[in-house]
Amino acid sequence: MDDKEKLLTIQQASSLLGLNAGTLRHWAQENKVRAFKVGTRGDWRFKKEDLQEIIKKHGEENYHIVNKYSLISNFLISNANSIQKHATYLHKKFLGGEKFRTEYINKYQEDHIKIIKEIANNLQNKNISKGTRFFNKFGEEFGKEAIKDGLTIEETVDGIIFLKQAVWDKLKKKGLLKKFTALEMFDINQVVGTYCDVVASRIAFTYHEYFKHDAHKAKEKLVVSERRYRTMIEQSPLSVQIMSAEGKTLIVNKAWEDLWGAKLEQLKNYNMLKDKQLVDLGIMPYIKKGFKGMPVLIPAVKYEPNKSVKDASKILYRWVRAFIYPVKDESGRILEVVLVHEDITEQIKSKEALRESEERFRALTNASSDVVYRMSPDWKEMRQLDGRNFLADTGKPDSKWLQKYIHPDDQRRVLEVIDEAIRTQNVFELEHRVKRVDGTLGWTFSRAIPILDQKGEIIEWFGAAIDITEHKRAERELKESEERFRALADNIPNLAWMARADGYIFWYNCRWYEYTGTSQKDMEGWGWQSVHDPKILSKVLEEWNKSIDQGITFEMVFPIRGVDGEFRPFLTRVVPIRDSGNRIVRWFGTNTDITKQIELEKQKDEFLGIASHELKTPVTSIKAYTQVLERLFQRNGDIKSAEMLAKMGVQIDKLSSLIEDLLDVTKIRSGKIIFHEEFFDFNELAQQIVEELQLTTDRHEIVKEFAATRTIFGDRDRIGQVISNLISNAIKYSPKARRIIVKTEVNHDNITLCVQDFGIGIPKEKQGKVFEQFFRVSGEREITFPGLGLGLYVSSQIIKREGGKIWVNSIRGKGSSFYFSLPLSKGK
Amino acid sequence: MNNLDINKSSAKRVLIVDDDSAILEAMQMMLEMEGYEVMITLNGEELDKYFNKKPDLILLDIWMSGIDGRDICKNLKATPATRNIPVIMISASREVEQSAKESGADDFIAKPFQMNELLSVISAHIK
Repeated sequence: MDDKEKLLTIQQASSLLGLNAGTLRHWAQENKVRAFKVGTRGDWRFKKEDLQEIIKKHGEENYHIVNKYSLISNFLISNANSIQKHATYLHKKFLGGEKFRTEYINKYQEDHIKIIKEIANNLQNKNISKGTRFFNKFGEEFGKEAIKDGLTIEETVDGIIFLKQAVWDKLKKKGLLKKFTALEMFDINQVVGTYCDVVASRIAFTYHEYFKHDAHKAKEKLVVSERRYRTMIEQSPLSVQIMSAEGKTLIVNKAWEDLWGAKLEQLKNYNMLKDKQLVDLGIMPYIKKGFKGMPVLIPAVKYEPNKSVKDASKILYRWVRAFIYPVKDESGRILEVVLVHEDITEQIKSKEALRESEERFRALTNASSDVVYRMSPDWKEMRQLDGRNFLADTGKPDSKWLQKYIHPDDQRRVLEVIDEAIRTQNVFELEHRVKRVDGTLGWTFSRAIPILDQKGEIIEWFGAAIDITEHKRAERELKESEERFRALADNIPNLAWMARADGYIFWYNCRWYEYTGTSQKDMEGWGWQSVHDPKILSKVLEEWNKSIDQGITFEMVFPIRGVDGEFRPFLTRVVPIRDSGNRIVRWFGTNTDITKQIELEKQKDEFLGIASHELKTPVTSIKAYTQVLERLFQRNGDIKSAEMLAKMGVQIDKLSSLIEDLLDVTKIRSGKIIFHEEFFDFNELAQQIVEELQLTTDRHEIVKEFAATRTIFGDRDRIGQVISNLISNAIKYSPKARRIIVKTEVNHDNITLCVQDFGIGIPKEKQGKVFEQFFRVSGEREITFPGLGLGLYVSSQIIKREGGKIWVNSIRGKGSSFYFSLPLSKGK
Repeated sequence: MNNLDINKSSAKRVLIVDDDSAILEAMQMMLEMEGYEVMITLNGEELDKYFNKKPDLILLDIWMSGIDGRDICKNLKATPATRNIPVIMISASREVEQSAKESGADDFIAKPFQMNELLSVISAHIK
């Protein structure tokens, strides 16, 4: 029956599937899985291929009915025998169970197997109370049986404890505990551990009930304390090695195995009292003391790697500190010797690293510091100080160093920091005042590190100090000057503030807070935006960011809201403050309320407007009378008088053109200037103006160099005014020249007119200003030329409004060329 | 030339309306020197009484206290009896030229003006 041999039992099959055997049986009955009935009892058997098919098909969807712990319980059931054998092995090994009688071992084996299987079943059901009832009953029967057989309570209970240990060992070895979370591990431990404990305690209770006599009670107590003791040892993070009084190792814990990379078995022939390495390391005397009955702390020693350890390559060496403690009975006889080790390799390593850097540190500080000093471990005494012309030297140990060097007001603080450094074995670091070698007061920055010996004790402190007197003075001066500046800035009538290079405003003067009614918290950084007119803010930000990016002065007029909620116009100027490397370190900004200026400006414009308009009427009359008079004199033959009146007429013309300019300026500024635009012939206009002005000068010849004419769209009178203004200026500012050239040029989209003179010219630095209001050019020896300085301003405004451009080229002493261009496309 | 005693019947009549007596008299003198018969008035609202003297041309200031020369001009041009009398408007402000012409003025001249300029404008409108 080859086929039959290949069939799997229900235990094997359920283990393979990770299922409860009961579930699988149920599936077999329901035909959910192909199964065969064999034998007289009709046991189920399964084909491996069928099961693998199920795993493939239903593995995922059936997972929820597969108990997570079923792998463990299936394993426990199928391996109950071998687990029990392992328990017996442990029992014999640790408690010298060789003397056990074989018949008892065999007898209780059955019971142990039963316990294992019951644990497995309960693990799946997780019905703790049901399990507890079972194990209580079981424990009681077990105990009665053991008492009958004359077994001691230890022998019986230990059997259960080792059984529990064996279950854990096997589960761990098989890797079945790996997949569980901490919480699930707790559950498993509950079941496995609790049931064993229930059995053990029930056994103990049964014994207790049976032997109600004191002698037995004491023994029982001993068992419990022994168990506690062993558990404690097992779980200790410190390496524990328990030896017999003769030096043979009896027990080691897990931490010991990890520390030494060895197992208890390897110590079979080892006797600590005969270990030559311990003699060489110089700690044998301590160990011998321990074996003689004295608890001893063994100093830290360095162990070379144990050659016998397989993984020795990983462990280079170990620093180990140990405590040896003898365990005695009432008579003082030594029963056992306990050795506890502590691995301090890492601590030592870090201290070694510190020591290695110490020499380099000394060399470096000697070279870079003004002062080096050495102090005793408790700082009571200064061993040496090399003061290098900053502090007085100390050649031999001095306990009055504090008074000698430290400023009285700083002594307390120095001592506090020293205490802290000693307590923490950390660096001492402090800025404090010192008495300098010349007796004056100075500032120092002092730093000291503890120098440690091999055992990690402080031998001395090595310190270095630098002279920071100058630095402190500069710092104080800076602070004072900053305070002075702020006091000043707080008292100016303007709003003022400072920003970092990136534009983050970190300070405002008092006026700012007074005017805006805001607080420091509101304003910090970019909070200023809240007092801006939202309609203009984007423009302000654009300009401000441009300034920050390009590092250029910011100047703009915009409204800022006051505490009364009203916006007032402010002229804001922000200048960059640069360091010696020309990098911007700060921005300093002022906001000046120009409400009054604007008001005054407006009043001025209004006044000029009214004044010039009122002036015009009488001037018109004067001119009319002059002309009438001139004619009268001419008619009467009084030529001289007529000529005088003609000259008077010229002056009146000048006066009226000045008035005209003033009126134009006020119109431009108030936006009231009106243009009457029409198509006209450009050359014809230029020709007309040239002819008119040629009449006003005998000295100059106005030369025309006109390109082919074009029709353009604009205010003919206003453009004529510009040409006239440019030619008049050319006449005015070239008193010694004989020629003025008026040139036109047509490009593809504009027409340009240029008036060139050979007069005094305009200095380069002033050329940018000629189109500003009230600009006037001075001649040699500060000869002034008449005029209000409004003509070019008015001209530039006219050209601008006509959509053209106006500019100048000039060389001082050689003459000027004024240009304007107008678009040809306009009006088309 | 004996302009000072011109033949009154052949002389062209010019009516000047301006609220500034100085300019009014100056213009009167100038035009009389050129042989015109000149009527002057400071009051723009009393023009009617001059119309029976049949002026050949009216010089009308735009800005007068109490009344806008452009309104007078509109009235003149709307009245059949005066519609054909040429009206030249005068102002110290060049900006109003457009609106002056819109109110029906035949020409415009800005203060201050050259005498020749004024005379040529007048003669252009009096045939």
